[in-house]
Amino acid sequence: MKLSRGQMMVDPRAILPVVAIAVGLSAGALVLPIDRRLAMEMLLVFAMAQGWNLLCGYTGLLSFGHHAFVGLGAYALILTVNALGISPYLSLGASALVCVLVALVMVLLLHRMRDAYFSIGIWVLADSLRLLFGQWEWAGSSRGVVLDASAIDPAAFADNVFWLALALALTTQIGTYVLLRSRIGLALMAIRDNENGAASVGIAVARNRLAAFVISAAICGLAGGLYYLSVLYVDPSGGFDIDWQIKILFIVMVGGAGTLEGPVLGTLIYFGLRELFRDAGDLYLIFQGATAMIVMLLAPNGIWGSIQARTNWRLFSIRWTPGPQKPGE
Amino acid sequence: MKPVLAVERLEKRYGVKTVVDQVSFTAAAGECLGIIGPNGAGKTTLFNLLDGCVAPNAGRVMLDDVDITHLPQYRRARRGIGRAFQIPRPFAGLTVFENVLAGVVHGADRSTAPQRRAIEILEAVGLAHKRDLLAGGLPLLDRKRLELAKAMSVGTRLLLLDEVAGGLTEHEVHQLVDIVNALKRDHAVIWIEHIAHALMAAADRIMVLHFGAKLVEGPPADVMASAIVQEVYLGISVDVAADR
Ligand SMILES: Nc1ncnc2c1ncn2[C@@H]1O[C@H](COP(=O)(O)OP(=O)(O)OP(=O)(O)O)[C@@H](O)[C@H]1O
Ligand SMILES: [Mg+2]
Repeated sequence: MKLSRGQMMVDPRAILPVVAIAVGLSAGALVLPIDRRLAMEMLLVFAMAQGWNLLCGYTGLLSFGHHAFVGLGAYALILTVNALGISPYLSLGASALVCVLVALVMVLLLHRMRDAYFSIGIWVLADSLRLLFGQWEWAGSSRGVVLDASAIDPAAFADNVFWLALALALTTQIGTYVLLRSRIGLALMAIRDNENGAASVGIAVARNRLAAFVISAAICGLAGGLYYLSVLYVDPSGGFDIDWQIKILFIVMVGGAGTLEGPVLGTLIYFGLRELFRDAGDLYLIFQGATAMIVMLLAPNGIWGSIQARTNWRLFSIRWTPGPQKPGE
Repeated sequence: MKPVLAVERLEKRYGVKTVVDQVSFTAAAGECLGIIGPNGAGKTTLFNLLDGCVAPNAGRVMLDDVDITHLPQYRRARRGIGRAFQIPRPFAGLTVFENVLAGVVHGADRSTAPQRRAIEILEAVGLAHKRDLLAGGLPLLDRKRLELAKAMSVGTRLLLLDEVAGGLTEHEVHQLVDIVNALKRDHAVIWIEHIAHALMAAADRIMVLHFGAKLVEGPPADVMASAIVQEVYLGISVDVAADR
């Protein structure tokens, strides 16, 4: 086969994600010196949102209980450090592991539920976990638990946590991109669009859905673990606060569910609003709610979703194409 | 020739109602079995039992001499059963091309060039020029074509076509008959259809279902001419038919 000129050049879509990440990092490096704590929080909340988007936007399971994994990740990290005396960075493994295990148990309880039943079912489970940890004496009950500070080296601590947050955010973005471009990604989106139709073309619905759920749980667990590592303390009402879920929901819905760019945009909008109205008290909540409502009314698919529908722009394109159409077709 | 599909005394009840009643038949590669019957006769339910959407109350389904009665739906698809649903089930957020590719990469025929295979299928059903459109935006006729393409994407052994000709123009029905005639060369095809002349042009045998039970089965012309089919299916009473 003779290659035409067009085929020999690198497909511009292939380098777009690299360019997007490079631009994002450079922009981040400019504002970083201003407030690194804020930057870290943004990276972690972004990772949670993108993990949740994998489940909601690409697999079609709307979870209202992902704050469970934030809290579990936090407790798993702090408790293993305190009990075993190991390095908190290693304990992040416990955050992920505990979330994966709990996610598997949740699936046993929820696997017959769909749509609103699933959303509410997992919300109830998340709240039950909060109550459970509030009663658990060894885990500090409602007082919470403080990280054993002898386990950390204060000089490098803030730096390390920041770089880990950055690594998590990048891994999440690139990882979901690679996953969604694979045949598993095709399976997840088929399941989202028509569960029975997916099974009828050979897709193992339960197994793929389970994988997406477990991955999104692990990402939220790691992000929660890192966040509360930086705070050095977690209690049930903070770790299992539904406010985590609301943040995630706001970011993904406003940015655009089912797009890989949406959560990035949503995170910028969320934190932009928060910083703008940081001294305004309750007014900020009103503004946040109003933003969500206006976006939902004007752009039901989120801001990036609308841009994409109109312009067909994609920075992280997961579309499969058979190549340019042959002339005469 | 050895049958691809062998069905033995298959039965499905919903409550007290028997929707598929002790149905047995076979289908071999190289032939098209037509199924007709009045609305609610249990035709679609029979397909549900064959592709694994629904579990039977009794009976057996054998595909290539393997008992698949208790295999889940996706495993049956991977053994080469493809189905075009009466009500299309497109993956609305995926492109036409991706809809077909999903089946090619997950189904039985893990083709070495899945992209090319997907294009071949789209060309066969006449959707190649719409491959980059979102499936959710297709008009009904194209959805029906896509449904057939999705069935072909996994159905390497057996194709179950549920009223794929409904709503097509005369010309399109002819094209469809050509497609089915080409497909049946290396597949077993079972086609449920209300449009009698389309079925007559493709089917090698016709089976009539009535209240879930098999009424008659035989060569298309004989079946369509039989008095009992005229009564059940075409609504002409046997007495009147006999008088003429
Ligand atoms: N899940 C179900 N629960 C209860 N009854 C059902 C169910 N599915 C089908 N039925 C009943 O079984 C009977 C057969 O339905 P089916 O859809 O198989 O008919 P059909 O022959 O395909 O009809 P049509 O020509 O209208 O497509 C109908 O009376 C229907 O109401
Ligand atoms: Mg039917």
